[in-house]
Amino acid sequence: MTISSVVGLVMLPVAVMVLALLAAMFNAVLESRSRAGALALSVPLRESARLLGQQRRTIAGADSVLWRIGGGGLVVAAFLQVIVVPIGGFIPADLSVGVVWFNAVDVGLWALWWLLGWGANSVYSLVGGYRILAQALAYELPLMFALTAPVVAASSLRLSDVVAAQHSLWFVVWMPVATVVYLLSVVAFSSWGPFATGFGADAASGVVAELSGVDRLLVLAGRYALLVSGAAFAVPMFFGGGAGPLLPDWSWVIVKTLMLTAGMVWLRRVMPILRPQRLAEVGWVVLIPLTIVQVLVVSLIASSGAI
Amino acid sequence: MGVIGAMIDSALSRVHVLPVEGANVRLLRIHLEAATVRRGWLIASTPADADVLIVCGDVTALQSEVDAVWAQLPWPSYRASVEDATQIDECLDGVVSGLRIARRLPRERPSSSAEVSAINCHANRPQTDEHPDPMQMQDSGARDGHRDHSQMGHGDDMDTPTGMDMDMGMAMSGPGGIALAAGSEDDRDGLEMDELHVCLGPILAHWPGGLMLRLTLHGDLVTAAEPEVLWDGSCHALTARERFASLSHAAADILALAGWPPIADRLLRLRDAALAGDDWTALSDASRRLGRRLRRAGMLAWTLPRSDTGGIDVYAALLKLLIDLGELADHPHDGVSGLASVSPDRLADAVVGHDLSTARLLIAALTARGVSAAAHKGHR
Repeated sequence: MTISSVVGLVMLPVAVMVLALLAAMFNAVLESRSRAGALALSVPLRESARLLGQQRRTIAGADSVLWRIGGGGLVVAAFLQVIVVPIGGFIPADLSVGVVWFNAVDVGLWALWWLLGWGANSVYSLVGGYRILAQALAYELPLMFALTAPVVAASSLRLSDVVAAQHSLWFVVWMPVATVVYLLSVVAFSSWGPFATGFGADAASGVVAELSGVDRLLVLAGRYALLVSGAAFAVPMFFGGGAGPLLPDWSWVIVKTLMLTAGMVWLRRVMPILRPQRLAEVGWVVLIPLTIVQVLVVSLIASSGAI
Repeated sequence: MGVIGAMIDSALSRVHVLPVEGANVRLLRIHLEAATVRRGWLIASTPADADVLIVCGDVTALQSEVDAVWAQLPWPSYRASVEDATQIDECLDGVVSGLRIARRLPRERPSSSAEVSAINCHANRPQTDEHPDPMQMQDSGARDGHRDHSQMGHGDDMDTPTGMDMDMGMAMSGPGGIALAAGSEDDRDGLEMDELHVCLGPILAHWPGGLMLRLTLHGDLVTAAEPEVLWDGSCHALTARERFASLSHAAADILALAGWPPIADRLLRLRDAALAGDDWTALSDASRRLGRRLRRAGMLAWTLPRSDTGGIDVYAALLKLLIDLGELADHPHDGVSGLASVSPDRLADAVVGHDLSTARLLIAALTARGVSAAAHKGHR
């Protein structure tokens, strides 16, 4: 391992958190259109300052260890997801099973969200945890099939191979279903926007109902970080990696990540929260067959050697 | 100044306010929320999210709940009260200096203990109690005035280890001296230990003031509900503007519960415009625009409870609220048609058999025009 890759690995979490901050700022700007209050750009910073100066709560009977693991684990999961993403020539960890790695971390999020809901020993947190799991049942299988499509086309689980396979044509063009399902699943595993049922006002903000101070900050920042890491992973999977005119490869990865993140943040404005009992039907009856057909089509095209 | 000072200043520009609605002061609470948002501050969703507790009007009927919730606010926190709308601005001005002073106080407030709260509902109850006394079971716990000795729920011990000592001598087995959740014989899913007891209200965001609903949950499914109304609901006759504000606030509550903050915010701005004395034609236009926006919202229509809820169509109720707002703005001087209100027993019947989310939406739709004063006190 060279010096530069060590520096890169150290800088990676910083970069993720900077992008997460930008996502939070973008959300604050969108919010300021329907709310009073100037200086929207500084809202995430001021809110962070507020939470950093606030007491962390403890609750009688709370399973504090599991609770803190759930809350702090979200940002860690986001870091783990991006280490397989090629950033120009720099690949923090060029695993031969990069796609499986990402999927494993994303399934690990089930546990983290559940621990967060469970650990607080509070009804509202617990209900938030239940809801996130119910929702995960709806999106996880479609997500896995969606991840399969680029893998089949590239005949490799390694992210750099997947990028190389998009040399002539980005996968988003001929895998639109997989791309959309993947991006929606990212929004879902980040508990954001239409999939924020675990944070719903109808459960007194669910999994964060009992959190204050830095614990709350970690969870809220973790959501943005997960949106960023999910978007960053979509870049090599569907959007041609660092391919793009003029700018160097690594900056295209960042630009594409930012654009995808912005789109996912924006989704919160246009849709209400979709309740898990409605989503399960869509996930299983509509999305699973669609993604299977998508994988089938990709397989046929790939085996015919057309691309 | 320095970094810490700058951070404190930043924090004070984003104060989260937890309003508590006293007896028959819905409008005072609405005025308070409007003034809070005008400053760029936020309405807190739970005590954990709040910096400031502001009591509106007379809360003698729920003093112990207010104290319990107050004990749950994380340090630094501040408590204030307002009696009428003219005091609101002065009160909010005082919040900033109050929070600065609170920051210099020790973190362990003398009043803190393992409080049970009205909002942080407990998942547990003593398994030995075969005929649980509802007054003992409820989360607000200590309406009997012996709060220090009845630690039934999981309150917040505010980092004070002594908080745990309160449970000494209680016949409880779970962590922190709290009994494990019990199962029951009529369990729908055969899962043991997932029966929860939770009290919705009286201090809860997007919830009608003065209403308490004690729920038995299996997981998040409501299997039993028992209502209580804390005060008689008699209110002075509302002016047209006040009715408009009240209805738009109710519609915003439904949208907030449905998880669509941007549109809820637009309704709250409409409410604030009405209170600020905007032109009726402008209010009418804005109501109709929002009504059209909601009629086009296919996702909202799809996700809200509609047909499977005993004839209560939340989406239709929301659209009707917007239509009523438009008509009220068109004919503000027509006779005062009192807000049709719902009886608490009807609420309890409506929510049984639904999940918590559906239950909250149903209650918000049913109580949009007020909860009737139907005597349901001392329901035992």
